[in-house]
Amino acid sequence: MEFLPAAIDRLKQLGCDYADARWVDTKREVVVLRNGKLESVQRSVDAGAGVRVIADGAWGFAGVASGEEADIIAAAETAFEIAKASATTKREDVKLGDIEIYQDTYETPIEKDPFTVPLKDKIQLLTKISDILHGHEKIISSESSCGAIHIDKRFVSTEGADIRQHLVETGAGYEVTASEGDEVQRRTYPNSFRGDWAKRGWEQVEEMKLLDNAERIRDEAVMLLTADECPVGKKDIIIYGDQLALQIHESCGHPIELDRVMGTEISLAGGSFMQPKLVGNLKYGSPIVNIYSDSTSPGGLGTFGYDDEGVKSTRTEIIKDGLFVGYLSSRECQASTGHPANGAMRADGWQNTPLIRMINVNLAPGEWELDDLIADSNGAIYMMTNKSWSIDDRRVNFKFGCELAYEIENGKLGRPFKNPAYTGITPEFWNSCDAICNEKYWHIWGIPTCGKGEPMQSAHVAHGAAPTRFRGVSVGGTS
Amino acid sequence: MTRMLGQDRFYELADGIISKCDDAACEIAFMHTAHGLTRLANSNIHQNVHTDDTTVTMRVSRGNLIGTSNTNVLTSTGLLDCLMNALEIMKSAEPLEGFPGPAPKADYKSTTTFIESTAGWGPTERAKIAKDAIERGKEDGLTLAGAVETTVGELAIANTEGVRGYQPLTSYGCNFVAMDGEGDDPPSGYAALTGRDVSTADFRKTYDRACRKAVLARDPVDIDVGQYDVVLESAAFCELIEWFNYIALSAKSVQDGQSALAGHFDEQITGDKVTLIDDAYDSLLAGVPFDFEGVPRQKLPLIENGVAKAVAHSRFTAQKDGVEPTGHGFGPGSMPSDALPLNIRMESGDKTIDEMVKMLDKGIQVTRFHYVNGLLDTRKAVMTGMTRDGAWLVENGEIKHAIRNLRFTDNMLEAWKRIEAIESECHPCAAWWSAIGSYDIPGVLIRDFTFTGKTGKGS
Repeated sequence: MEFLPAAIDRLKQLGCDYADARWVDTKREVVVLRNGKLESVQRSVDAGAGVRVIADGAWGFAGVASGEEADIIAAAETAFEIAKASATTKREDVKLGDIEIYQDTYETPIEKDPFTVPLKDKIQLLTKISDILHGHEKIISSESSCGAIHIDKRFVSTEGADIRQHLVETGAGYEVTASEGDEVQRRTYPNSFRGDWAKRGWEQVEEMKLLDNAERIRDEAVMLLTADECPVGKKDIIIYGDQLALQIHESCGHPIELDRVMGTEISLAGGSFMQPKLVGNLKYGSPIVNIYSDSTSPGGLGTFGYDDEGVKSTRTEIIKDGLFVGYLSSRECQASTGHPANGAMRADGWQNTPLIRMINVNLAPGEWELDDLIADSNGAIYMMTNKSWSIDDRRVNFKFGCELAYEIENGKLGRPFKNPAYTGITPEFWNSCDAICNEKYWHIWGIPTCGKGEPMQSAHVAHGAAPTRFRGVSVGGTS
Repeated sequence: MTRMLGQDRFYELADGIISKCDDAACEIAFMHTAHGLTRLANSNIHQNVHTDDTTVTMRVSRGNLIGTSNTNVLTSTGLLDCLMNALEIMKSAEPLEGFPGPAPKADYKSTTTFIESTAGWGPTERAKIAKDAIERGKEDGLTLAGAVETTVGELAIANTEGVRGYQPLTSYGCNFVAMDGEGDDPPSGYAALTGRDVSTADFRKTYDRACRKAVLARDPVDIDVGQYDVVLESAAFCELIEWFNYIALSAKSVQDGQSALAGHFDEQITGDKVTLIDDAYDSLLAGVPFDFEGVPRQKLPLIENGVAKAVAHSRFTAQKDGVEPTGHGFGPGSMPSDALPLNIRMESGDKTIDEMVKMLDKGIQVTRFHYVNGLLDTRKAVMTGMTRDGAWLVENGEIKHAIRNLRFTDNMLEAWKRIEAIESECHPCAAWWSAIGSYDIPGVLIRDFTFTGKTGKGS
């Protein structure tokens, strides 16, 4: 977008302390089949400019859905006025940490552009899945979907940054619901809530084995109708990677957002128990727990070249051998706390100002073979695929429900259980971790629906995880 | 001041789109939103934003073949590209059996959803409220966080059957969290307010309430988990109603077998004190008199004295069930089966919160919940969540002391059978669609509400 520099020039004239401007042009396509019928194919275009300003030592932001030079300059002037209004309550001037300034371009590496795949092929794939899912009389509904996103962005700043990025995201998934009487059970693949997404091309969908797994997923939904309720009590549990991804997300990813730690989300999403004084002191997990943020992970939904304040993507250790050592940070937090900006400032489109968001926050793989882990876990419960999630406003007390669980008997998967759930206290839980499967079982699960902020922003993040065992966890049904 | 596009401009744009549809039917929805929001934390404005956006969604159809596209590029090229996208999709689509096509032309009642005074607010006015709240907090040594926001919007719909609808909108909202001290879990209090006319808003009363609660929340103690009688203030109870709406009150959730109402219409599914009505015309935030498909919004009795009566239908789900659409469809921007009540009101009772607290021998008063989730077992409406920003142990009708946060897990249909008293006043609670509507919810007294965990020691 050629008019961003003009907005920056105007803000320099007005005497701002700092400003950046972003143009974001997003193209989406989502195809949804419900109950075997094509219910929705939707293509959308969303384009506009967002201008962020520090004036009189305070922040202002304005966004406008226009590519006209006059509108973008007017938005810059509005942002400037807003910053002046913000300054009426400031306790101290906003300062930004120093970073390297880039003029660069970045593109998501892909093999096959998802927008070049004919719509008919996508519909045909989803129809085949649906045909399999409905191949049992107890199936009452299904939904299968695939989607693709192109994002073209430009970032310029008063410091001379000028970065253009072309990002591509692709995903797919399905869910199937079985019912008998008042009993209803749902299974999803490859993960709940619209499947699995990645910063990849259509090859992401081709490698998901969607058709290969449809019959199994359908039959599991039917099986759950007559399964026993998950027993209640302290149990060892093995959590499959799809559920563990959300566990990482809620109990590690959110509490390490340094803006949240500093209190800026306190009225909505809450705070964090992972306070700065605990860095280097909190034994967050057992010594085999290593969690890192990494916006360079190949294919990760949280992978890109630069964040939305021009910081280059990077990897940061968060939990090192069980010890809490790092945060997701921003330039402002770098200046106020000393924790360096690490490419985690992200905005949902042009409409929003950047916040510290998760990127790819991954649990490093361990050494176990899955069969060996199961064989070593007699009496444990193996849980998979998220069904419900809840955690307190400091990210300490959590409760997760899963779609399916199995009892481990004689070193093998035994009885299935319906409505499994587990609850715990974050550091106690991660300190009970004593086995992580190896990289063969490790996958980066894309979550395209991470909410934060006012107005609510949705971020596309990911979590690498492999099946992992936790000892003595409170397990129960959902009632 | 936000520049309104106005009814004539939207209709002109719609006519231009329809004239290029060839013989396809077409439904169009415009949504213009100018949103300003000032956030404060640590007694400081840390985020102050304004965004102006207009999106148009087009759904074209020929018989059962549908194509949908949307854009916020309102140039002639942008609109034409959007229409061509929709037409191209339609040509490649598989038929959707039961798709009813565009709604017929209808007359709509009038509702007042636009208030000039609210439209005139900007960052200066919002910052003043933030500053006043911060100053109030200082009186008790409290730190303030929260947000003050105003929205100016326009919703316009049109279709090839002659439907034309236009509704200007304003809304305001604020929420405040007052905190006593630093650290990762200081005692805190919460209050919020939402409405259409900012000139009638009592912001001072709202942040003062948050501050008084924070003072009352000092020195919290741990209590054991278990069953307690509870007084849930409207913000807390609204979280449960909001989730119940998502999981149970749409025709889609019934048709998919996920809703607690599925197979139980005209049966008693919960307590006889529970009456939920969706009513755009008698709501604390007046609603929009038509849905995004152009169907006049109906007053909808959802639950009457605990008996399941109705759910929200789009034209597509209504046709499937052989009933009339209720005027709750999400229209071309969503799937044809998407519909949801947007103006839910619970029938109020005859008690104040204080009177209900006095009815507790041993119980808990809850300000609000955090991160409620209702997907554990949707047929039974099992939900879990945490208390936050003020909960108190009550003994012999008097607040004894503040308590640390607790996790509840309970079956709402059963819990609501144990509602013993309801507040005499409903309070408007914001939803993400607050420019369109809100929840009007009173506080309640529920016996034997189940708490299953707590933050700190054990779970």
